[in-house]
Amino acid sequence: MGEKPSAQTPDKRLIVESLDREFARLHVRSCAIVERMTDATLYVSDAGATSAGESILRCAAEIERTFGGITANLWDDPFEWTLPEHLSSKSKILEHLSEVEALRQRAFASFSDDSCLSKHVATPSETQPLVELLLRTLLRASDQQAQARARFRY
Amino acid sequence: MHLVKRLSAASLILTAIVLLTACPSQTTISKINADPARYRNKEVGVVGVVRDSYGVLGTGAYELDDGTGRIWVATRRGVPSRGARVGVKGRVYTGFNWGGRNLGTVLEESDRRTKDR
Repeated sequence: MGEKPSAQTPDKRLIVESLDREFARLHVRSCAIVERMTDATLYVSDAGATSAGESILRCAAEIERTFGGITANLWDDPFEWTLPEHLSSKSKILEHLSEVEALRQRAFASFSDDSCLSKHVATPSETQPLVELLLRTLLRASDQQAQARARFRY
Repeated sequence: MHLVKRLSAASLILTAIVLLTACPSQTTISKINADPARYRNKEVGVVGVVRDSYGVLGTGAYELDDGTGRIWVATRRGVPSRGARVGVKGRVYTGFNWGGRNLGTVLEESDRRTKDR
């Protein structure tokens, strides 16, 4: 009686936590794909096709752009600092994926409850509810990850 | 006069190019599911009946059945009700997972028309 619900009461974060889990799973799957590659096979591809390593970086870039935008209003495409030349080994890619995951977790920690998801976010191209932005990011990042899986047959 | 004719022809060709590239190709769900890589990141149109739908905070997803197969459609507006016949235009994405379940190929809706029955 008289217990005040906290801002992060679990039942008020059902959708936030559900989305959080999906992004976390995406991160785990990306790491698992990288773990199973070797430094030599990271960026090997058929002519004209994107390599598995690049697809993993693009997957992470989708997440980094969205959560960099949400947390620091930085909507730049992280392409420049995630070039294969910079991330030339498995360990460097895994380190980068961890940094992106940490950024994502920081953003999710700031979503106090599900009502946050209705708030509109101004991206460089449009203004849209946060939930839309998150689902769209999940969709596009998953697509890139699927490309990585398809390219790297293990 | 000759120049006017040439300009008209050029503008006709340009218009045709714009229209042809802007229009999504109508296809069947079975074709998309059979070769998702071919349709990946491309805009397509499909027509079918809504079999299942989930909506939350104005966004959501619904499963469309066109008689040849089923595909999940992610929408940024309210989901149509089950049994509704809709024509959807959208971009194809692959590898979408939710709740540990692989939903596979997903269409991100950009436009939708509800068909009269």
